[in-house]
Amino acid sequence: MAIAPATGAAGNAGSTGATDQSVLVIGRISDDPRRHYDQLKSLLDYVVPQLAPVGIREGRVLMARDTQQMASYLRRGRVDWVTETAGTGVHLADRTGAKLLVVTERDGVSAYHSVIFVRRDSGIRSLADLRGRSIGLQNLNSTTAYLAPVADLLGAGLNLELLLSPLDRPSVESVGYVFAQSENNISTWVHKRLVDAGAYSNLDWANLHRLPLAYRNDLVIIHRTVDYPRAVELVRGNLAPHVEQALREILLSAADDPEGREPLLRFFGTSRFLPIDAAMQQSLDGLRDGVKRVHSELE
Amino acid sequence: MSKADSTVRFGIQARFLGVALVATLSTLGLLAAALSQQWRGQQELAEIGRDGMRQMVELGIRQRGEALAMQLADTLANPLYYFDLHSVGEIARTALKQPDVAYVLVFDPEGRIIHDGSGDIPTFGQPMNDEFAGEAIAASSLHVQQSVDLLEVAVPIRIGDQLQGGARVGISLREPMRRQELALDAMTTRSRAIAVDSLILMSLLFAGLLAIAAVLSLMVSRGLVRPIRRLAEAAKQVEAGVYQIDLPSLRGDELGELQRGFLRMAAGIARHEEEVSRLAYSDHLTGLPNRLAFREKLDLCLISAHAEGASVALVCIDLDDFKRVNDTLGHDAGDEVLEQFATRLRQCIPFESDQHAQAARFGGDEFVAVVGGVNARGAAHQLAEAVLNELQKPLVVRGRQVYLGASVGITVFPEDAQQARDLIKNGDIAMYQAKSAGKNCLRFYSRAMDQAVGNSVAMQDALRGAWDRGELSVCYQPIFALADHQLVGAEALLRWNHPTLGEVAPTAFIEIAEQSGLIEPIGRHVLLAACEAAQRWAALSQRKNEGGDAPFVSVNVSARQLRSGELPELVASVLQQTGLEPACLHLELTETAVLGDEIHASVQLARLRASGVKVWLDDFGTGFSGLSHLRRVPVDGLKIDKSFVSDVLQDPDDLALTSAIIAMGHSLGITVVAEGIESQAQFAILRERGCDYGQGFWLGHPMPEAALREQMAN
Repeated sequence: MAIAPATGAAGNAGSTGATDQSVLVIGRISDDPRRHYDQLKSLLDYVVPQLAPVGIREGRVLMARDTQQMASYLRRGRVDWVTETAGTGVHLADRTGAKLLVVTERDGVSAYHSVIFVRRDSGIRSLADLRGRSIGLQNLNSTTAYLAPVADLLGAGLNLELLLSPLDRPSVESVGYVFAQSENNISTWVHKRLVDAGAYSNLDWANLHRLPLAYRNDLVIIHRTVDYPRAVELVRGNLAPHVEQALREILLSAADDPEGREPLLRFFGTSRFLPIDAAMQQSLDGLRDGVKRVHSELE
Repeated sequence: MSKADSTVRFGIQARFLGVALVATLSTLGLLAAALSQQWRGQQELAEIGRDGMRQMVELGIRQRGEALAMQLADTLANPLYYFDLHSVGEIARTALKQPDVAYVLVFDPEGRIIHDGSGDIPTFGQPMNDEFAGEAIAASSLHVQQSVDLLEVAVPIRIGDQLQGGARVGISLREPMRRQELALDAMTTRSRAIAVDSLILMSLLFAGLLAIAAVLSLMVSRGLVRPIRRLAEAAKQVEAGVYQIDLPSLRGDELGELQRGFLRMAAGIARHEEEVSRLAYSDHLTGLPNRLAFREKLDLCLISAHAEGASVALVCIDLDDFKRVNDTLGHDAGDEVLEQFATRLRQCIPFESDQHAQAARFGGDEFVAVVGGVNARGAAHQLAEAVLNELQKPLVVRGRQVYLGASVGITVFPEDAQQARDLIKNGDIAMYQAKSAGKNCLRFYSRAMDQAVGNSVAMQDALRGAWDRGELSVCYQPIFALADHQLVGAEALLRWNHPTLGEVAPTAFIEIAEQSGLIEPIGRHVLLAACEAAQRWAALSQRKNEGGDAPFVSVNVSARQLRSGELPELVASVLQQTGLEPACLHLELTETAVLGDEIHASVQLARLRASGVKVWLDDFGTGFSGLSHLRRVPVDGLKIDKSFVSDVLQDPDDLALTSAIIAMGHSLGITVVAEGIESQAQFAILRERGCDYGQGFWLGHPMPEAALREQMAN
């Protein structure tokens, strides 16, 4: 069904990708394909037999190194179904014409938002106070630790300036941002005053592994974004509608199927899939605008 | 336990035990020294092992630390470059998880801490100022520092030429050392266990040695000490006079030799004791039991007789005048006489028929015999008679005939005495009684004797003062000239009329008087009395026979009187006192008295003869001195002993001897007197042989002076 890449870095995983209509290919942007393969495969194995009525006989996994590669796969029909966070999801949909299929609830959380925090003793109380200061973010693919907060910073009328390292200083009028690659680094940098502010999801804020209590006591949130879906499943824009419809239905009912629970759980801790309601659609639309603006203004 | 036993006990066994103990202790000491040496060796080994292990552990830790530091420097370079503190933390934590890693510090080029591996990096940004910090920050390459319990490896982190900072890895030596100590402890424990095993083994060895020593001690005790103790016991038995010794298991070794030697010795002692006993209990001369043996035998005899209700008689025999034999013939001859008498005595005793019959020599010339039977008294009498009869036959000694009499005393158990001691005393008394009664006779013991003269001492006491009490008197036996049967004189004879004993024979008491010295005062009295009597006889004779010789009186002088040297003065004094013609006094001396000291006697006799007194030799022929003495001893006459006279008719030898004496006397101008003429025939033959004078019962019994004077007057 999907057109598998002939060669490429991800070719090992996806080289056997379906070239016919009977193969369903699931994809994900991954820096650790070995760890993620089984998580994708278990849900695929649950879904594929149920898609037999629509002619799907086989399921395959294909992982991409980054957003650009996944966008390419989607555009070329190499991958049929991609699971992603909201920010990247809307970006991929925007870039490739893919469609958001369902909202993914993970660990019982269907929606979350980004928080921007500073040291309590930093004197920073608002986004405006961040002028001339630095903020630690994760990386370009992160929804809550990059796309959403940066969108809000831009929306607040602030100029952003990419810094070379946390030791670098922005100009007085700009907010310097620097990628820390991990939530832990963001927490640490802020706490150790390498940067003045940090941003990630409210889930990370509540996670002691990401933010030790000792740090959090010294930190304070100065901004929260609106809620976004925890994650989304999207399919390529030209997937056969009956297959898309069958897949949506299977996923929406998986949580109610006793046999579906285990594959769901293994699928990145997914607790259920939800249909995209109006509120979610609105937040996703907002997010799409923000992401667009980020890409246009910063990249 | 006697001292000898103690010596054995504390001697061999204790000494052996001592040696065994010393040996055992020495062994123990050596073993202990060896053990101590082994212990020290183990200690040293443990010390060496400790050092070696510490070095190895330190080397291992250092190498591990270096490797870890190098790895850290490698992996930390990129994260550090990007300030990826998360990765830095992960790497540091991974390193920290390695055993014994005490700390991991990542620091910037200024030496401020970037990460310490903790979750919240509390030390972030702080300068390091610990003891290793300076060198660690300054290190341009791998740098190792070490303290007692910590080893640190510091390494700079570079990207190209750019110094990013550095990493320090601290590895605690404490835990490895603890493990090393544990290992060493285990080793020490093991070696201690080995040492304990050795100790136990040694203890067992020691116990074994002790056991061996004990067994050896037991063997010594059984094999050496016990036999020696048994020998000591046997020696005690021998000491107590038990010679039948039972020594079990005569062994083949030296102890067996000792045992056999001991048995031979015991047998030898037994033999010697038997010999000694024989010597002690028997008279070597006669072979008869001696006084000691006889006393014991008599005791047994009396006990058995008492038990049987039988009576036994003790016969005490004393040879009369035996001393004379010794004095005149010599002691060898005396011994021969005793031997011969013992033989005859033995023959007289009815050993076969009488179970109590015994004979013994009591010493000197004293013999005893015991007879029993239904009529012990009669048997004793018979025995005494037999002995006296035997003595009628002369004993022939060196070709010469010796006539001996015996005085026999008889006492009977149980009438006379119950005890052996008393019985012997009674026998003695009876025997003395026989001697008193004139010798060569027997007397039965009576209580009267006992009260009067129990023995010579009692007799001596009785004799003392007897003259003053008038018990002693002098009687006179007339002496006739054989040629014309005229009375020429008389021999003064002492008589003792004891108030209870009656007449006591002179032979019995003269000897006692002589022995006690009483003879001298008595002799003076007798001499005076005799001279007074002779003086009266002279007056009487002058009236009757004008111009005829006055009758002389002959007085016996004892050897003691002669030896005193006062005899000539005494005689002179008495002659002067009485006025008697010296020629009318004849002094009779026995050969024995003269022979005692010939020169002295010769001087005395010469002085007496010079004063006119005549000296006669009494009992001539019994002294066996030979006639040659007559040449050296000046005498005026000699008296032939009555023993010759009594047999002069029966024995031609005696007659020949008597004739020879008479002839010889005459040839020397000596008057010859014959004693003991008891028959006319004797008188006749002596007269025929030319004997000058004679005296005897046939001629006239001894009589009071008054009676003699009367005879003279007629």
